[in-house]
Amino acid sequence: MAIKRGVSLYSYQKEYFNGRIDLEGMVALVASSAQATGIQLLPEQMPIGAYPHAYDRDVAWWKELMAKYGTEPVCLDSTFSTAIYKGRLATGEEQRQIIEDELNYAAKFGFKAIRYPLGNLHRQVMEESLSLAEEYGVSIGMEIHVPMTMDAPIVQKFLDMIERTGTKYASIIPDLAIYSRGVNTIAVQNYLRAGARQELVDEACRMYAAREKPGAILALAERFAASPLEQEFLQKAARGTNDVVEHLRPYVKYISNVHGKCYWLDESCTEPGIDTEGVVQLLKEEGYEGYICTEYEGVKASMPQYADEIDEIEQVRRHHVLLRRLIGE
Amino acid sequence: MYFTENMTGQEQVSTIYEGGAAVGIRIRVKNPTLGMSLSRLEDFSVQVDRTLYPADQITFVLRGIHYDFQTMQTVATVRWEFGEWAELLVPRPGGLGVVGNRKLEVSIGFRMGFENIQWRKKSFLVSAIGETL
Repeated sequence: MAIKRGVSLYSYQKEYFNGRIDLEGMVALVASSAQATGIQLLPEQMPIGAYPHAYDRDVAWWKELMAKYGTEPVCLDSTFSTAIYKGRLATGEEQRQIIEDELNYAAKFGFKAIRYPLGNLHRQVMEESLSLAEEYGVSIGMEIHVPMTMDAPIVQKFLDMIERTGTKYASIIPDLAIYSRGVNTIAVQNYLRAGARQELVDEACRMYAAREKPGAILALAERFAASPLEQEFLQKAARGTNDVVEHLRPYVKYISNVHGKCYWLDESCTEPGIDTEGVVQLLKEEGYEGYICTEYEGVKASMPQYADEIDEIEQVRRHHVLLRRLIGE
Repeated sequence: MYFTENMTGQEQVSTIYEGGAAVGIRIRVKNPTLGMSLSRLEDFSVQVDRTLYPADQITFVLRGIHYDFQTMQTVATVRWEFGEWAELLVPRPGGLGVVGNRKLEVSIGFRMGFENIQWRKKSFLVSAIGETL
């Protein structure tokens, strides 16, 4: 067994937003263009049927779709918003109902894990939901996302809970953006194009890659007498997360899915900003046999005036060339 | 952001006529963020030049169903999906008014978390052709 490859349909969100593609079209692309088998889905963005309801006719249609394209559901993403009504948080009972509805939805459509943003889901509610997760056979996966690092207290508390309870239905889902070894390439390209000076951008990128403190990067504004545009770039450059890949090693056993965040891949199919190479190597060494699902986010990261030019389909394809190369397929 | 920039625009604005008279404007808007229940729209407004139309003056139309803002806040089971068109019906006798450019701003607050409101705003110019009452 080896690492498997999948795609979050979120990667094709511009095409979907513009009505140029539907769920079936995206699944077809995963199979044909990315030549991948795993499907990650954010139903709040691209629902199958009437999310959060899982009606039999929609389940049957989805299963036929998976069979038609040789794909399988992997990870369902949830934002777990507790802000249903103005002026108050969802009650504990309402929160449990949201989780049960989503576990049911995931199970019916065949997803093995649900991603929740770590921090949105109260740990106590989550712990109380573990027995439900077991009942539905779906793992509750906490996403380790920018600006978190593996040694952040909130992450460690969650890992402690997994170890303390011995549950098989709680897991982690690292988002590869926490291994941003460089400033987001889309931002670099956009700001240079919009008029930021090359020497300022180069210096910020050098400092970021050297893990210099955000304050030092922001201080370039004074040194370069930065324009408002350049200051905006420095804010972005200072905000990245460049965690140490090695810190993931002891926790690979708890991973249910990896979100393969990427922003820009050149024609040689490399992602300069994210240490995909380092993470895949570590996962291989630890015998990880789950999925890495491409989560292409270049359109959201881009200035609107340049986003139309982005070809999401090609970017996802390139990411899978990279993943195939790294996995050794 | 790309999705906010493309949530509406001048080609999505039309005049509402009743009995041959222009009584308001209709603005088509695409949901630029995640799909969510109507109860999670924190607030919205339309501004035409210096005149602000708050949510309680606007009718929100989704899949042909008309909602007033007060009702929307209780509707947790109807979702406005990402990329889906809705319409904002703004009462404005005379429509866009005298011939010339009008500046429109559509603003919608999406409640992502309890204290996390994402405001999506789009400003653009529309040419008025001079409808009359």
